[in-house]
Amino acid sequence: MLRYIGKRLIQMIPILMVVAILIFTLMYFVPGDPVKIILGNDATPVEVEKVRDELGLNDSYLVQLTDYLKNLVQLNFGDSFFSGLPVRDELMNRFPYTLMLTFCCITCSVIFGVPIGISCALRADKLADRIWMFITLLWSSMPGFWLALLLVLLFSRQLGWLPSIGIGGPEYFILPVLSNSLGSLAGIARQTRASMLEVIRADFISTAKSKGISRREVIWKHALPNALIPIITIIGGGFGMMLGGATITESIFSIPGIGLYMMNGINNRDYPVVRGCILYIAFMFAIIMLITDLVYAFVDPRIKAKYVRAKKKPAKAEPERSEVTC
Amino acid sequence: MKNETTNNELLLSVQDLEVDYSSGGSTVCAVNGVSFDLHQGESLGLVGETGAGKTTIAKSIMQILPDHATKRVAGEIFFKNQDLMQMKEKELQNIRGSQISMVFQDPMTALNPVMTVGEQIAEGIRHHQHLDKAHAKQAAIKMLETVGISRDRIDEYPHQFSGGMKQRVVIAIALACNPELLIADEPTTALDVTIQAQVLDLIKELRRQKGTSLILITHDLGVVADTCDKVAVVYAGEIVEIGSLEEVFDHPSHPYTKGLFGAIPDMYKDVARLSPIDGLPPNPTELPEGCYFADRCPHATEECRARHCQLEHITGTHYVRCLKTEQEG
Amino acid sequence: MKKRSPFLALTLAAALSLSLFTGCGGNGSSSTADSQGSVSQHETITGKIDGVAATGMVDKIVIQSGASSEDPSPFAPSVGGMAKGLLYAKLISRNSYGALLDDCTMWLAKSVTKVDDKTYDIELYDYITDSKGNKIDADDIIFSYDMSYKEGKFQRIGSSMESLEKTGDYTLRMTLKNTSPGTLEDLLSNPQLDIVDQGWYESATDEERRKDPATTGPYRLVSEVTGSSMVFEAVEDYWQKDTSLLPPSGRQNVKTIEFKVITEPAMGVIALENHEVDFARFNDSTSLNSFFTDGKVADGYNLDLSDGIFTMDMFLNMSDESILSQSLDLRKAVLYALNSEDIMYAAGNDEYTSFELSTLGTPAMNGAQPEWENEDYYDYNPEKAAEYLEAAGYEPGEITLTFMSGTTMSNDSVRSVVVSNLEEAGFNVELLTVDGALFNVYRDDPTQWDLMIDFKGAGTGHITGCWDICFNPGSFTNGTSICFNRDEKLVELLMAAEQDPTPENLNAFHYYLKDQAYCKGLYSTRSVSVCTDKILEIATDSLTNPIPNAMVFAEDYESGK
Repeated sequence: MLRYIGKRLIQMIPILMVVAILIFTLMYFVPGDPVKIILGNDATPVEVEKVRDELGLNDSYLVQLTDYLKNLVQLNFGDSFFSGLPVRDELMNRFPYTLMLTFCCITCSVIFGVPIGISCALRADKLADRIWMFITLLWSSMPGFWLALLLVLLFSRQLGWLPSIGIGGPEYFILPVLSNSLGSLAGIARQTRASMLEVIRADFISTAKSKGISRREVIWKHALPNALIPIITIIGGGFGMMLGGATITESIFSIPGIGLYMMNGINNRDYPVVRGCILYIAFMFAIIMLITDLVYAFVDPRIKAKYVRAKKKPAKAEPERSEVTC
Repeated sequence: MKNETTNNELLLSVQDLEVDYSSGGSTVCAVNGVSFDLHQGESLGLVGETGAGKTTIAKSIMQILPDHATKRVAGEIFFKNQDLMQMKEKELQNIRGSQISMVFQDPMTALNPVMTVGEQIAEGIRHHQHLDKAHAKQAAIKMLETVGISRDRIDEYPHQFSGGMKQRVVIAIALACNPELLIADEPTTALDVTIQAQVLDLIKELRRQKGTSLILITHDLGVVADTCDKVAVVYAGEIVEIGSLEEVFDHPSHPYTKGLFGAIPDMYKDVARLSPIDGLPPNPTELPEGCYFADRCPHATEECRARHCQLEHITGTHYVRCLKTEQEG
Repeated sequence: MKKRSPFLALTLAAALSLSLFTGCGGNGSSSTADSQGSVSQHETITGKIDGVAATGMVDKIVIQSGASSEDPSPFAPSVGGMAKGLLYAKLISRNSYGALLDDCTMWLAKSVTKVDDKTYDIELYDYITDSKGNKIDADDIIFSYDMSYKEGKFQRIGSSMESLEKTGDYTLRMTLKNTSPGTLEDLLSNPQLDIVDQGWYESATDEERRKDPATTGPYRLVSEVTGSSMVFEAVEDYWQKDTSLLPPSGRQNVKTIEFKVITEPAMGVIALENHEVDFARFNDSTSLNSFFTDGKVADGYNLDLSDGIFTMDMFLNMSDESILSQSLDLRKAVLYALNSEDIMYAAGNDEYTSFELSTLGTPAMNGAQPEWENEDYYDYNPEKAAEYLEAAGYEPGEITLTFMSGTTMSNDSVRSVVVSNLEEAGFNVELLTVDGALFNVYRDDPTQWDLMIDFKGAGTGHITGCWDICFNPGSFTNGTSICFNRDEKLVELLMAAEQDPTPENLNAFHYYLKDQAYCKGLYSTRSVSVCTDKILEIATDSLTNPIPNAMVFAEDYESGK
């Protein structure tokens, strides 16, 4: 298993390299000049040219690319054109907030979404199921911005229970997590319901029932572990997306995370910031995908067997033909 | 209707069982008034083609019909003089796995892919016999060996076993708590002929050792001949002929039963073509008023189509549902 | 989550939007200029209320900041945040927008004396120390100017300052390249100028410069969470003990200042209502309306409307290939077609937060002549526009103009108003709408647009500064102008006005530019400062930024209440 993990980690390096080159090239060709934004509206073209030279923006594509890659392998992401702050430091500073927000959102979505999905699957097509599916549809259709503002108006402005902006103790995270997680909660609930419906009709569920074990055990020990694979896929995907920066939530609640940083970077053509953020996202996605695959292996031994197939001893090899008998 | 072929106690008595499913808006009449008895140590073969309702009967006895699809259940199922249909879920859970067990049709999908076989066998043991993990595992290992699988494989997963071995595991699970009644739903249908023989031998051996009663569901008359004491022929959700093995095999009386036997190729005869039964079973959502077999029966009359008849006694324990018999008898 | 709450909150949201449409009575009168050509601050809403002032320093103020990442270290490029103003002192401070030397307060400089038109002697106080005790002398000033130019991108040092020489331990001589009014004052007081001790700076690590810089201003940095908050504390034992010698920016009326980053205006309104911040600043009329209806400030709040110091203008393409350069009548048709008031309102302003312009510049800029406001400055007149189009020899619908605007600067309503204005006059319009960064590139490309809307300021605070940015050939690569042409007469008039900003010269430029119809100043916006009414007086600097340390607090003021 460790070999598998090691292999995957090594595979990440060329992938990230390709992403780096791609994003560099993309930003290079996207029209728009960062320098005029840095210097402000009143800058003269002469001043602009000077600063362009200083930032190396007048060098050829290859020269800029090699410089960039050289710095990259030393883990130097450059300094923001706009604020002058080193991109790597900014990413490190902001990452924990995005991580915390994302983590809480996913946890919240899973804790509520999975049980909702299960109970809907068990009461498929009955009234309770229809009501909950409608509610989840409502939640996933709500624009995050609108929902966030409504929540703030109610809980912060009207009732005064929670702060509306900023970071600090756990109470600062309640509204952002709530507004951000309802959408993915809906997705997880629906997928859980669909997976469970499929699994419940399977034969081994009948076997389990016929053993006389309790219904709860049938659902949680037999049905759910088998329904998990597509659910885990969705959770992994959602996690990855959110780590890329829950931009709207961060911007409304003024949470200093990666999302806002990247958005400003893009608008300002702050090349180092954009490159750094994209690489960060690619990296996080790769890690999340790896973790997801490992969770698959943990949940389903058939998948685990595929990962460690090389190490299996021949004596334990699965006999495919039925000539072998005991 | 009670039989007295043996002096053993009456273990199971199914009376007027009816089961309707709902499917896509219409009602499927899967079981339409089935009654039979089973005594301790007996083995009953339920024979019929696919869709006749045999599995539904089995699942009814286990009370594991699918909740969402089942529309209506009627009748009584007495197990050791208690009506299973009236029992609460908790009591049923006590009976399932420990007094009545089931072996399912398709071994490939009957086992939970993410649990080790040892865990799956031990689960029932832990539940019913209240053993701790270690002891339960020991018992599971013993069970595994009883069905002829090496103890080294206790921690392996189902995907590491072949079809025949999987079925053995399923049998191990079913018999782990020494149930008094084993219901086997087409246990060998999905297996090669050679493996079939091994699995049947295993079942017979275990029956001999533990005295388990057996309801064997199959469409294969050869398997019935090999394993069962009694035979019930099921067609369109009802029993059309029932009797001891000899009675039915030597004197098949219902046209359907006769058709079944006629459809078996005889090794010693050189026949130009097989004679399968013409036509298809009736649509279970629209069952006819009269005899369900009338459309396919070479002897059908107007009266057959007009009214539905009861099971009529022929001789000994042999009963048939046919107007002809009624008239002759 | 109860089902009732979304409805309650929805009602709240609806109520909030309803308040938008409350009629505001009366016209916000546009400012009247005084004899020197600069405008008195805090027009209709003074930001001053009665009350007993606190004696001594109050404890804390929490301010909303819009800058999402600010680097407080010296010479970091300034992104419009307020931090540097608290940390680093300047040589002088301008009392109002566009103030000239005699309307400035000294700060680090004890005196500034004119030697000749281009030369000035500066004398420093000889007892200046920064927050870590380092003495500041002439060498440090020269070093700071150098670094502000090289690192901090304070461009005017390079374009307008010839030299800065040390003439003594605490005296310097500054020589300018040109005599454009306001240049000297700007060089001595611009927010991008950071004065620090050379010795400290060179020996400090990057980390130290960011986390704990040695400051010459009245505050030092206590803590910072990037993108979220910054906390400052008054420097103990500030070097200037005599407060009468300090400008407002140098005061220490409050001990702790906290900036909270809030990027969404709506959230800023809520934070202010919740007392999560004590002071906030807005640029749009929607936020204003939460605190100001029917000409009255809401209870519990104090409010200040700043001067408009930026202009929103329409420029016409005057390059040789452009159709507009062929005919003056055509240009006049375009300018008469544009309805400044409608465009202004479409941009989300109302009569309190904005006003129409009557020149390329605002009345707040030094040098703006009051009589310009009563003239016809291409006031919206579609009939006249149609006449001029005909006089130019074109049929309605014959000409198609490309109108370029940026997505961040103008919204879709503005674009539709411009389009409908021009179509009414008989033009066809093609829209070229690009994001900020691309806009900056296309702005210099004569093949891209016929009409362009852009905002301009006047770096020096004098109206000639605004004109200079647009029409000084030295600032453009081909020696042309923002409209891509070089009008020798216009350049001559510009130079004359900059050399000698008499009303005659200023009028000459204004009328000539107006007659040539190269551009039209549309409107200017004011920013709104709102705070709790326990702040008795709202203080803002010459660039309309709030000065938290110079506010006058009530006796019973308490942060967060």
